[in-house]
Amino acid sequence: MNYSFRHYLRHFPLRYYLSGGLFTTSEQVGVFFLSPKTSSVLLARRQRVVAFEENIGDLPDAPPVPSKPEPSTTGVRTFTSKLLARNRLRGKAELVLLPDCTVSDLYCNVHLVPNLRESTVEGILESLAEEPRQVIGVWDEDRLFRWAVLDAMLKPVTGHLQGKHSQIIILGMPADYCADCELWTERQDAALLAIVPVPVACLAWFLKRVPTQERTAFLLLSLTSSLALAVIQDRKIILFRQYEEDVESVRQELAQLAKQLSPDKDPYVCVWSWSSDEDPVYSEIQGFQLTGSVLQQIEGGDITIQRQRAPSLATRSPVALLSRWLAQEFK
Amino acid sequence: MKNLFLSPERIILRSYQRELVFRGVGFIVLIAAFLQLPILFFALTAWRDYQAQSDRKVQLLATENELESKLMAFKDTRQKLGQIQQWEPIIRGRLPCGAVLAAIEQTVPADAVLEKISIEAARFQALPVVGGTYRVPEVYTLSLQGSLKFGHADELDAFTNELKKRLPIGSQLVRSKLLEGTENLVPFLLVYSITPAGNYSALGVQRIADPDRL
Repeated sequence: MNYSFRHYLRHFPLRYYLSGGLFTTSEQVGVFFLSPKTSSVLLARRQRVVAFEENIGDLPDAPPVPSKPEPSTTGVRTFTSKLLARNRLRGKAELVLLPDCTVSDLYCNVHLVPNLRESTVEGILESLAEEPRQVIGVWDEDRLFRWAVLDAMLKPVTGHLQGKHSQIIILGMPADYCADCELWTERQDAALLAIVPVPVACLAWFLKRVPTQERTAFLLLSLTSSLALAVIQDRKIILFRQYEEDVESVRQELAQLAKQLSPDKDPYVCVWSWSSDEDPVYSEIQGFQLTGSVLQQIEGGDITIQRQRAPSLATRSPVALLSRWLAQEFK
Repeated sequence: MKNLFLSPERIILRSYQRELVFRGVGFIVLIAAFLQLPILFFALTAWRDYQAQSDRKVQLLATENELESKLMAFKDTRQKLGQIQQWEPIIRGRLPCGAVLAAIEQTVPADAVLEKISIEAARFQALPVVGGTYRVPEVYTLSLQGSLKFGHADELDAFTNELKKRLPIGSQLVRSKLLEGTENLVPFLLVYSITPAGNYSALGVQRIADPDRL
């Protein structure tokens, strides 16, 4: 980042400072799960979950959802200010957006470093911005994308790749949608911490929270509009593929990959679904279901939301647990 | 994964708002700006005063130009008035002798006979006028010689004082003397010094109007 005092003075956040931001220390984190089918938000303050609200997609001034036209209804007060007021919170909020994109709205792929023309992350990002075909070969999208490069453990990388990394993950999302998210957050008078696609968030959670020992793990993600399959070896992602809800082809490909990558042992297949209800994927794919009591064990219990003048609420929704983990990670 | 898919500009702006270093700098900048407020206020006031004075100066200059252009039409009149004003000390220095004689006539006692009245000008001052110089006397000497009937010599004092009252303000009695005479008459001599001041109201001469001060 190129910081300069002149730039700072030119963009001096006077309104933010004078509205109390200069001395604000404790802020709440809101994690939004955004998909055309359902949207929810989890509000956490000081490692404690304050609220988990579902079906917020149709509310006025709701955050932009991928592949869905932005609702034009905006009230006098912003969505975030109303959300904070509902839960008796004050101050500014920091937001993390988890868009559940369609296959065409998310590019996520593992690339072997020796196969890349560019040797630095900066070079790769520059080439992707100029012409994605220079880096990822086949690319038929007309839309502008924003790009990011992570290592195989989903950590940010910079500089030279040779000798440090054998493979990297290239991520891409439509620039229009990212700009919409930024504008919406600015309107909310909040800080946007990151736009993390749901598969990426799930993979990061899986790498950190689910023990795989030295086995090759196959993680199948059942998302609202697609399926995603990731292969993890030595806590590194070595393969990632997305499917448009064709479970049969996923099952076949999973069998082939298992034979190829884990020939000696039984494949360690894990299935994560966004839905709290029984997902049909569970019955069609034989694997370890990351749901219900399993999630409860991994996360150390359900999420309990203390409410004033009302009984406490408990939830073990996979989306809520994922959101809480992200809120803790970003705090 | 922090800052994932955020534009660099947005990340920088968020840093300005949230990071402790920038908030510290912001605090210093705000305090410094707050301390500048009185200076700015006084600077603003001074600037407004200066602007008002400048505007007033421009207005006055415009008025001056306007008046000067109007005065141009009166140039000949002013010139003539100047010439007339040159005559003012000359006219002021003149003594209305007729009025003086009338005053003597009105105040002389019935038992007195005047033999000689002389008015002499002295201490001349040369004043330039168009076409040359004019000699203006600064002092006039009025001398009266006459006689009083024997036994009425005490009327001389009354005559002296009465005449002095009639003479212009600032006139002084220089000499008043009874001389040796014959059996029936007592001669006397009176000398007054008259300084012309232009005000002869005591003599009964009325002023026409105040002089024009142009």
